[in-house]
Amino acid sequence: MLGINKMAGENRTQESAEPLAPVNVPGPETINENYETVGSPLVDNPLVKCRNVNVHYGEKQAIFNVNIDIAKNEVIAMIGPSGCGKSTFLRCINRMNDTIDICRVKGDIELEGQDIYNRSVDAVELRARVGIVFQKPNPFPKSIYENVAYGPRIHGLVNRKSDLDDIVENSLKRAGLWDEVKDDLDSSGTGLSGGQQQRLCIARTIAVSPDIILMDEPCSALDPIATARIEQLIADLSKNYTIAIVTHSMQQAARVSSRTAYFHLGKLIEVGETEVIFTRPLHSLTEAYITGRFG
Amino acid sequence: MSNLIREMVRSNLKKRYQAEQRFRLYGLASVGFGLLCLALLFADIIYKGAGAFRQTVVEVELYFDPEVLGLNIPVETDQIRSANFDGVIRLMLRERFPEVTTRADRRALYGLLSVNAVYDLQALVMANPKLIGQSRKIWLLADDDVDMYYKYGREGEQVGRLAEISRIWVEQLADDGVVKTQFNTGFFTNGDSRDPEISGVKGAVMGSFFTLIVTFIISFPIGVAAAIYMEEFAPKNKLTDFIEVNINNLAAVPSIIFGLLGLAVFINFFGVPRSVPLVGGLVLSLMTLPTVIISSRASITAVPPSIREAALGIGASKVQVVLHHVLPLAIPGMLTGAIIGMARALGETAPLLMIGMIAFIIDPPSSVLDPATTLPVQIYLWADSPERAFTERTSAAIMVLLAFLIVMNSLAVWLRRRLETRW
Repeated sequence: MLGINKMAGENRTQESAEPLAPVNVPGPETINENYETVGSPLVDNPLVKCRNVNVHYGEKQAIFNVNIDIAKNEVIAMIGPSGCGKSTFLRCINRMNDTIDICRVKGDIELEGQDIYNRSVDAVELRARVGIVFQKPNPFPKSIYENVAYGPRIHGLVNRKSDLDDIVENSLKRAGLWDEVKDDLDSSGTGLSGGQQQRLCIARTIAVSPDIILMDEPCSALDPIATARIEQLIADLSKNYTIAIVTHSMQQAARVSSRTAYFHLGKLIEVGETEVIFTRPLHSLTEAYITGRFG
Repeated sequence: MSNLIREMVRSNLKKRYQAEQRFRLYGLASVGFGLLCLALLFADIIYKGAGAFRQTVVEVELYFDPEVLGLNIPVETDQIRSANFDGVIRLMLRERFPEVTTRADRRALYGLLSVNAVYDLQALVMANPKLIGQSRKIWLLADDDVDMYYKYGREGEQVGRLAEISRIWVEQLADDGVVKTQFNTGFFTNGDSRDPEISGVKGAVMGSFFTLIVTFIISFPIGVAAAIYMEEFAPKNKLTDFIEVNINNLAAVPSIIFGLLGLAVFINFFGVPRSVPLVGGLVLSLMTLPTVIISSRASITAVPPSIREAALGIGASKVQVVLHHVLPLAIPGMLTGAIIGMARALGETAPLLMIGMIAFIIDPPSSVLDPATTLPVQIYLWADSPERAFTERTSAAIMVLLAFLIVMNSLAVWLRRRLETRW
């Protein structure tokens, strides 16, 4: 938390002393239909490759022409003011938006070179590869064991009970919950505290060994201590998993991510190294947001 | 806050509290009125019907004279069936009241005991043929008019049509201490009858039971499946809107229409036998279906969307989401709705009249294909009968119906408590 305060502070000092003025600072007036993201949205050998992604809710367009790559084993944070489309975009990556009748997704999203919106791709299989953790902890009203075992069981990943036990134990260990719940795996998952529930949801997600974990504001319903634990967990998980996290807390984005993407009114304004975004943003809107002028 | 504002708030406060008090009193009065009506209803029914659970019996000493019975010794079982037990009873009555000589009086005398007493005797002797040639004291069922007189008429209440002369005989028998009232087990073990003293609700209870079983087996799975499809799978378009509106309309259709439909479709077209619980259950399930669908949809909607998202997010297919997560959470509500619908079906009379379940049926049904009647129809039939004893039985049958309802509703509450998952 100190880190980002310092960064923001530095930023403000810089701003007052010598306003940031990189060569091609596009002003807010340039945010039109054909806006192109500044910074470095694309990477080499991306795990997820998004090109010209547009999302409509009925008549209303929620996402405009987003181009971004997600590299393997990185933690990418998506920030932006409320209603900017960051959650909507995140939910495109595992086709959760399919479940909303009026939602239409256009453009290409490729996971390891395969177009996930292609007819040949099964959404059920995709969601096993792209796990998601939601804003509000939502464990099933079943036992802790059943919560974690559910994914491997429906996907038929195990044949023997002992293998399933191993998966449950490993997942809970990775989610940092094992020591707290190992003695009452049969008690209800909904009886845990909010932070524990969220870690249970993370354990449930990693139980099917996804390629990438999407996190949709995973800490917004949690207290600071539980939040700190989840952030620590994200740092630990990033060694083995690719994580895309949507957050409305800039401090959190600064703490957990290696790259940050800034969304504004459905457009992807800027993508860059987290450190760069929070210290030397290219775009004036990004700067305005991270310095707290709106949000 | 200035003193003036405080003063204004305080004066308003009083008014607000008064309004609150008034509102609470209105509510209390409404509840009180409801309870009063219920209490009156129950008091009336119990007052009128309680007597039906007691029945008058007369103790007589019978000599099973083989000559009167028309039996040869040794006795064969077949003969007992056609034996003249009536003669034995009549002989006994003539001996007890030797002063009765005229033909009309004798007929009145024979009428003291239920005409069905002979069947009791027959059964007794069939079970124990050694009784023939012996004497035995036996409690026999009194005629319904005697029953009414003994239970109510002796305190001066004007009941029934028992002749003056018969009343004297009853008094004489009562003085001998051979008349008493006992618990009316026959009311629960007999079917309907033209003779009130041996009529019972077993046929109607069994009929209602079988009908409701059929109703549940048909309406619950179909209703739940329809609700799940409409709620979870069907696209939202004009057609589904149209279907939804029509299901809601169906719930408001007068029940007799369903009866006519059942008559036309099930009986006349498909040739299902009339008067049987099967056809009754089919008709009532048509009637219950909209209720089941509506309540099932309500309980599906009540399942938090976060659970669905969680399951979908982990890669469960639509069907798995429904079967593993939505259904277990929604089933208690669905069952409650279904049982409430069934309770309505239990009290339904009109559609059953249309499909012949109003027929006079003596034997309790033993399957869904035996002719039967149901409790509300039985109540209707008895309420229509002129005998005073049937009036009493009408109220008693209403009590049985209410008990049936209470059992069903308690079952609903119990099931809900049991199956409910808290989260």
